Amino acid sequence: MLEIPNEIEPILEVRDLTKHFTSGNIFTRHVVRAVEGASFKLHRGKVVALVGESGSGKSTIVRMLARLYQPTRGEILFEGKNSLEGNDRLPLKMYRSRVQMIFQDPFSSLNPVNKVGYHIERPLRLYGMFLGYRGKAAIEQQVGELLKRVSLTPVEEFRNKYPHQLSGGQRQRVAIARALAVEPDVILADEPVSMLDVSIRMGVLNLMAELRDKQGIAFLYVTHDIASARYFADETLVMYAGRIVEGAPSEDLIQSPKHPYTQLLLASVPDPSRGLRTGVSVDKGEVPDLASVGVGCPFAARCPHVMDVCRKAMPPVTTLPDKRWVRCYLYENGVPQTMKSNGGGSASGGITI
Amino acid sequence: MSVSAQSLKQADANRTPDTSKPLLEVRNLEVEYWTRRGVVRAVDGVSFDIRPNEVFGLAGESGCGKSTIAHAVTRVLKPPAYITGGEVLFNNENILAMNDETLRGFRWEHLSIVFQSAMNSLNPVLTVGEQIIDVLQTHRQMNKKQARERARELLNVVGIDPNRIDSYPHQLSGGMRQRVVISIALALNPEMIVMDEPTTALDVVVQKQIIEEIQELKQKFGFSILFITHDLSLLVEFSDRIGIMYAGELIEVAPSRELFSAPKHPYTQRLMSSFPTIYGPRQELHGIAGSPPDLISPPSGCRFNPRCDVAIAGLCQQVHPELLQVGPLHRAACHLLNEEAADYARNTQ
Repeated sequence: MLEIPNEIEPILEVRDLTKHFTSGNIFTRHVVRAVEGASFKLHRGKVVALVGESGSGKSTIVRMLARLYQPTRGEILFEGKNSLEGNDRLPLKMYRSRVQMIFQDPFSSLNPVNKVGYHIERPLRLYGMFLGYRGKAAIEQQVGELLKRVSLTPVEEFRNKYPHQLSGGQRQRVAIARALAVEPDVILADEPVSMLDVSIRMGVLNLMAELRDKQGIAFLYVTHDIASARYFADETLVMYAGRIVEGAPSEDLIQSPKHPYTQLLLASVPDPSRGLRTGVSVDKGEVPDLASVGVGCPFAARCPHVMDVCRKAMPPVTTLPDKRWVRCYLYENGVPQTMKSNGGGSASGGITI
Repeated sequence: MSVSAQSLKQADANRTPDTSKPLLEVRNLEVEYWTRRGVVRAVDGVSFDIRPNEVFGLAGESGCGKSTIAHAVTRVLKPPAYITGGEVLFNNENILAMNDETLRGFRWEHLSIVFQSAMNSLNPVLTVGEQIIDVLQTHRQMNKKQARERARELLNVVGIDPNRIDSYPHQLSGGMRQRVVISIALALNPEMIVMDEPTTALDVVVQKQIIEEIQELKQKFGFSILFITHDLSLLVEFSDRIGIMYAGELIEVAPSRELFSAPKHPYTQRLMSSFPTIYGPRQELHGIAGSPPDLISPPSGCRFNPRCDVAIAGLCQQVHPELLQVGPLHRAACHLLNEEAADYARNTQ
């Protein structure tokens, strides 16, 4: 769906991925459209960031990709093969040995009664048949290797520690080592640094960047912090109320946001280097209830550029130059003249009415 | 940081708080948590003051003692936390020495509090109206009707439709709940509001809405704010002066623009270059190696020395640095600044 030209085959591709949850009883039954028609590609050695506010559906996408939720509709293609259905689909266990996950909260994603060594050994034992590790000695050695790779040294000391003896950053490193154990091609990182202190976030992000560069791992980096997406990700996707509304190379997205929501988001990020308090007022609106989103663009109610057509149908994907795309009627006939002047970082300018 | 230094200086001159008498003076505050593992000195000899109409921000990593200060100043600390020293003067009256009766009359009338989680600070079984009316009737001679009218006004002031007065907290979004909490804090026109991470649980767009609203309200009603957050970018945008905390101590205090453009303490310097920005140049960032110390047995000398890459061998490990005056409103605690402070002292004499 997205015409992002790329000479190499994507490692993981998602097409029209959709998840609806139903809630209530037979009388009050309603459908929550958590994710609608998400399509994107992950490539080896590249990071794609998924940015959005809480409740926008980013974690639902991750859980579908981790095969924890069954999608309502859509396809997940791993190396070009449909991994959800069909006779030749990738078995779930095989899929999971290739696609691993890092969770947000390193305080609850590690079992407090088990030592660090055990956490990293588990995947080696469970997936050993795919990896060719047999015997205690080989596994022990591999655990040491993995700890070294995430800079938890001296290895012998960390191997025997319990999670509560580690700091947040160290725990997240254990979680990364655990994900690396099965030598995955893809790592789904769901807000991996947002629970960590500012001074140690960069250490963890830089470690992931190193894994991307040295081992060619593809990352899906889910975050609400668009500045860290700019830092870490090659491409950034912006989600709003279950829809991916814009996709672009990260730096371009920051420099000239196209979708009115992206503009609002960027104008809202506190950033001292922007200069003085601008006094630019953002809108008073809030994210709509996902159970009551009708047809049309979910951002229409808050959008300063809203047109009649926006309320009637979801805008289709408009492909723009420079590997960019946007779902917004404003761009159906190319970049409109009135919006062009908003480029070049003056994100706050685009949203004032 | 090359953010047009000229305009910043200009702005600092405009924003420099007046030198009038401070509204709140915190003097050598000490708070300890008595745990089974030992005594955690969460706040160790912290002093600062806040002037009328000033926004004073306290920032630091988790466990540095910033929230403990908010709780100590408003006297809502519960065991195992104990205030073991110092005083908190509000208009020359020591809050820490007040008896319960005086405190009850003082709190909310003069000093109110907004906590991090609006979800937990509102009572889920009472409507928001009832909760505002409760505050009004406890402190003011108001009948139900007057109080209800005032509650509707307050909701209007914080940007909530007054007809939502009979809504329960769960019927409101996170941003609206936080607005309700702010309206309760404003109910009695206090001179100062302590805000402990008021927007941390909210999305950036809602955060911006709320911060702007607080700024408007502040202009309208005039109150000081002690603003506590771990989000430095937000603090630099929002506060007049900022104090940086590390391991229970205040290590640097400066006007926010000055702190951003010319931080003096090595920790503040590293911290300022630890988070990616969206407007500055894209550059490689490293964060700070190591993690904050265990406060049961903090490192001797400067508490930052084990993580500091410019520590002076033999000095920083042994001698505890005091806060030095390095500018008119700028103080920092680092041995590297001894000379700078001496220069400053000479020039001002």
